[in-house]
Amino acid sequence: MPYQPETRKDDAARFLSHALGKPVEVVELRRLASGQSRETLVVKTDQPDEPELVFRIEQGGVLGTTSEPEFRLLQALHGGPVPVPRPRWLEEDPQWFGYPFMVTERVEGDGGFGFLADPERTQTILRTYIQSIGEMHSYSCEELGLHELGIPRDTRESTLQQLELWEDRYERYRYVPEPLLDEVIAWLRRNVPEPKRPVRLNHGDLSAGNFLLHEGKIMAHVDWEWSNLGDPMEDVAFFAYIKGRMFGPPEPILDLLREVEAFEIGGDELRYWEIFNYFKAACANIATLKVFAEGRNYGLNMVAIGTGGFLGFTRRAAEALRASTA
Amino acid sequence: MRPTTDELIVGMRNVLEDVLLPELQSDWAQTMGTQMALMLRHVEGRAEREPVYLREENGKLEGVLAKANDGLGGDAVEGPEAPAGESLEELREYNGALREAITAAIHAAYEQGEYGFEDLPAERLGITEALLEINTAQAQFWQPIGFSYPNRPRR
Repeated sequence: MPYQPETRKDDAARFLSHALGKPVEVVELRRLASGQSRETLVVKTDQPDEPELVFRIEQGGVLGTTSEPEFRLLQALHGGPVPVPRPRWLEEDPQWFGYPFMVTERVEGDGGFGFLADPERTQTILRTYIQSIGEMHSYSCEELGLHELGIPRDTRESTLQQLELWEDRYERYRYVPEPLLDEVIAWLRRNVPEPKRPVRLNHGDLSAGNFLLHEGKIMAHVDWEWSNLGDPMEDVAFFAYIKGRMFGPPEPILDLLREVEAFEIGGDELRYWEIFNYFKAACANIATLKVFAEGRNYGLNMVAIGTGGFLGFTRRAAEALRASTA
Repeated sequence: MRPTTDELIVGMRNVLEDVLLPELQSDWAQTMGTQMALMLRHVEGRAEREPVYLREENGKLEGVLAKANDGLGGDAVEGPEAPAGESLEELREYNGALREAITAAIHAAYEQGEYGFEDLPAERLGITEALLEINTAQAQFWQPIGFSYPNRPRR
């Protein structure tokens, strides 16, 4: 069932009554306009002991991800040194919202983009965020309690896994082949970097909007659906070359990252991960077209992402590949 | 017959932009309404634009494939047969087949020799520039829906 506020209120109340085993009323529900891959609802109930809850409802394959791995990761991370919202329920049954979803507790904090209008504040927040990225990458997977998720042997193995995952999404969701992207895939497969550092937790989508800030402190990292255990250079390149552009150009961001990361950032490896991330973004974006065309999500933003977004990242991947080989 | 499809589309967009959008309350509804107006702008005249665009792109893809095959020599890949007619369906199908063939040519070039980190088959075949031009033309075709376009201002 597509998003309709009143219907969603009833759906959420029905689910919460079932999950908590008592009648629950939803007194307030709002949909966050940001976030493409999940319908994200903030829900306030009439239960005095219940904090506000965040429902993240799948959209029939948008950006090619499912809730289950993200939920398992949050379960493992919650209470540890990397701040995340407390996960409450993972529900695969489509009877409630038409798609699987997960529920977490809402964390106090601002996840908006408003600070970007203030250049000085933007730079302060950028430094805070980059500090937290460095901390995230400083912990071993064992320290974070992630052993049950299956830790790849080394970064080469994890990179190959990531390549396979995104290539599979590209093959499943595209309508026609894109020769430029096919060449990128072939190049990425032939040039996987040799393992030089331990496998670490990658957020996978480091971005403004994906952390919650309160009184100058990062209260939680959210939107972990692209997370993986792999080469942390993936996160570095993703933030510097893609989402970090909201904060400013790549080079100064890379300099800040160099201050907090325990590994060398640069050279062919950085170039590899820059190209990898454009490829990943292109593959994620193309997934939205079938989701739209098959009526699984009629959000019109799906079309913008699947056309302009896909073409833009394909072009950036091809151009970066050319620059690296010039 | 009047009004034409395009006249009806323009009418719908006018109602949406002038009457409905200002009344919408939630962020989500406003976002969707604005994007719907952009889609209606894109759809205006698309019935005439699309076959012309596809014919042009198919011509460019044929050129790319021919150049790639020149470079491949004895390993040239087989190209699809041009369709007998020019219906949208035939043009689309041919487009997909040409793209398949070009992808096969890139893989064939990889099989021909050693490639290092700084070496690319499409570059060796001399087809990268043309493929990038095709990509850019597509992005232009999708305007004003697609938010990524050539020369987009970037910080």
